[in-house]
Amino acid sequence: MRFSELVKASWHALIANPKRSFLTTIGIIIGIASVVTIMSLGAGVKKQMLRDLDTTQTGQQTAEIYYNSRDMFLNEPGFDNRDVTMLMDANLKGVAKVEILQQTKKIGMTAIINDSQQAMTADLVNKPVKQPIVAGQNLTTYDFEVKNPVMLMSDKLATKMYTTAANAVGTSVTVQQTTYTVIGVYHNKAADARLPKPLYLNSSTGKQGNGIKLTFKPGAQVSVGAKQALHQLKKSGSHHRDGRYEYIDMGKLLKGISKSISGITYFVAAIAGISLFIAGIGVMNMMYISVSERTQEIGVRLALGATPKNIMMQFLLEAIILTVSGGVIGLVIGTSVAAVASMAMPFRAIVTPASVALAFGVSTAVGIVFGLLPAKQAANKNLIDILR
Amino acid sequence: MINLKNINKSYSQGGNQFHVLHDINLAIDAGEYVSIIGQSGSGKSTLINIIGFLDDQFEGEYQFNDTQIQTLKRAELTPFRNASVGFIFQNFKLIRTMSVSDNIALPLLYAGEKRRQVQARIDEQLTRVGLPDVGDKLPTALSGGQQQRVSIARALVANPSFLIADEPTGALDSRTSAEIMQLFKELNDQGTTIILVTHDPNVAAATKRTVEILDGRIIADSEVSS
Ligand SMILES: Nc1ncnc2c1ncn2[C@@H]1O[C@H](COP(=O)(O)OP(=O)(O)OP(=O)(O)O)[C@@H](O)[C@H]1O
Ligand SMILES: [Mg+2]
Repeated sequence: MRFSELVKASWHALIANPKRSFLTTIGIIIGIASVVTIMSLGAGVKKQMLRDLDTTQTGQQTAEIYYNSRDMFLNEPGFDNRDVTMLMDANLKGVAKVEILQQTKKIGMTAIINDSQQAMTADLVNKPVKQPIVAGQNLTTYDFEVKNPVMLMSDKLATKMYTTAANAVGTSVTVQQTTYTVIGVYHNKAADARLPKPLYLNSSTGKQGNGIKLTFKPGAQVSVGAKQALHQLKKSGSHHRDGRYEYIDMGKLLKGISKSISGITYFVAAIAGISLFIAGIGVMNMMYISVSERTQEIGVRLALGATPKNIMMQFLLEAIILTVSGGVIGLVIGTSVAAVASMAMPFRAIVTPASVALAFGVSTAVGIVFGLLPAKQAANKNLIDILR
Repeated sequence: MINLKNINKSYSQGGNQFHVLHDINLAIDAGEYVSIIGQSGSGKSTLINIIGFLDDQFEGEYQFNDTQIQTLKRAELTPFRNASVGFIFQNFKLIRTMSVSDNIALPLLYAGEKRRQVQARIDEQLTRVGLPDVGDKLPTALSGGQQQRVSIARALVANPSFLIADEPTGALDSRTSAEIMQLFKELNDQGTTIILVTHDPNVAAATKRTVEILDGRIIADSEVSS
């Protein structure tokens, strides 16, 4: 008989008894799902660690400290040149360079508008952006080339400050000692203003941002220097009264997670091994029952031209289809569980080819190992005895 | 076609040899319609299993056309049986989880054909046995007589040299038996060789030749006078 017809016959026999077939696969599903979950998490954390290691290998060890303002409405950047100077003077252990991580897109700032101090958010742009202009005119390429201190104001802020959009055109806004002329009012909900990025970043007040990056000398211990910097900032940072500084030691965090995952891996592997073994016994049991229930069928097939090898393959394929289906379902469940679990972790789970291969390989192996004896029993049945 | 010479058959049971068939000599030609009768335990099924290549553990010579069956290896016997014999059993022996068509397809699939390519031949045989529209049903949805017709269709589908039927009417009431015998007669009229085993004198009388067995010996072999 053709192999494809054998597969069909096996499949047919399994779906003729769907409940029993499904119950038999549950152990396989659980075993494979747990192995795939833990492997995907392990692969995820390893990849993340490698990415972090990369910077070390180029000699560029870095650490980043972030500032969170306590006042939700005062969104002024937490670091400026004073912090850089202060940290450089503090002679931090192993630190070679201190830089502010400049915000480059939408930023918060304090501005003087219509003689009053206002919190405002601004888009920083490198070139004119096509935009519906409500009053006045858009920024031009020329403005960027000659670094004209001009800006657009959103219709929302304009009406708030000057009642109409038209009134706002020609007024001025001062941000960090630079005074920008409002040449147009544009329609925008996301930000209050649009400023030319080169001008803003190079303005005399220097760089500002909510993050600071420490670059270390090769071989330095990152966490020591970073903690010293954190201590200095808490004591005398430019904004230490208005917010908190935070240093996340990614390397340490990932190392910890990786360590506990590899610890759990052995545990899960042991559980999964037991689960798969018991599942295999279940498959064997079901196959033995199936063989004895279907003695008559075996006899008919043998009489009609089946070879003992055909019969053996049919029952072996039944066991394999059963366990591989369990493996596939387990792979899907394991992948989903890992994806959900990694939402709560600082890395993303990865389904590696290894875990796919493992799901198929292990479930096929379980099918073969535990299906072989029942299949042999089926093939060795005596035709004459069956037909009596 | 079938030529048995000095066939002896013993079953070994717990060390004892139990001699069932004694010096059987029997020749059956193509196109014959033979019934084998005899008491229960006389060895009818044992004989018919040997004739149908189900049992190759016997002494003596079995020449089938030009082939000496006793010299074949078991692995050679299976395809030989698949191509030469169609079996009809007392209790039909249809596989209950498969559709009627799938049941009839089995001998062809074991001969290496694809399921998709044999539907026309299945339908042809179903029509021949008078059940043109049941292909998609499960065997359990059919009456005993209908199931036996399906099993006759299955026996015919691979175009075998002869049919073997062990008590084909044993599980059927007399009216259904008569219908099955009518079908056998039609098949024989079309040239099919049929060998059947029966207890029922009426069934034996409907065949053309009767072989009677008693305690493993042929005691009578005669044409049925019609
Ligand atoms: N596989 C076997 N092992 C041992 N003894 C057997 C076996 N098969 C049949 N016999 C014995 O051989 C004898 C003939 O059996 P067989 O089945 O051929 O009889 P039969 O004529 O078909 O009877 P029935 O009409 O009841 O079907 C019986 O006594 C039976 O007990
Ligand atoms: Mg019998």
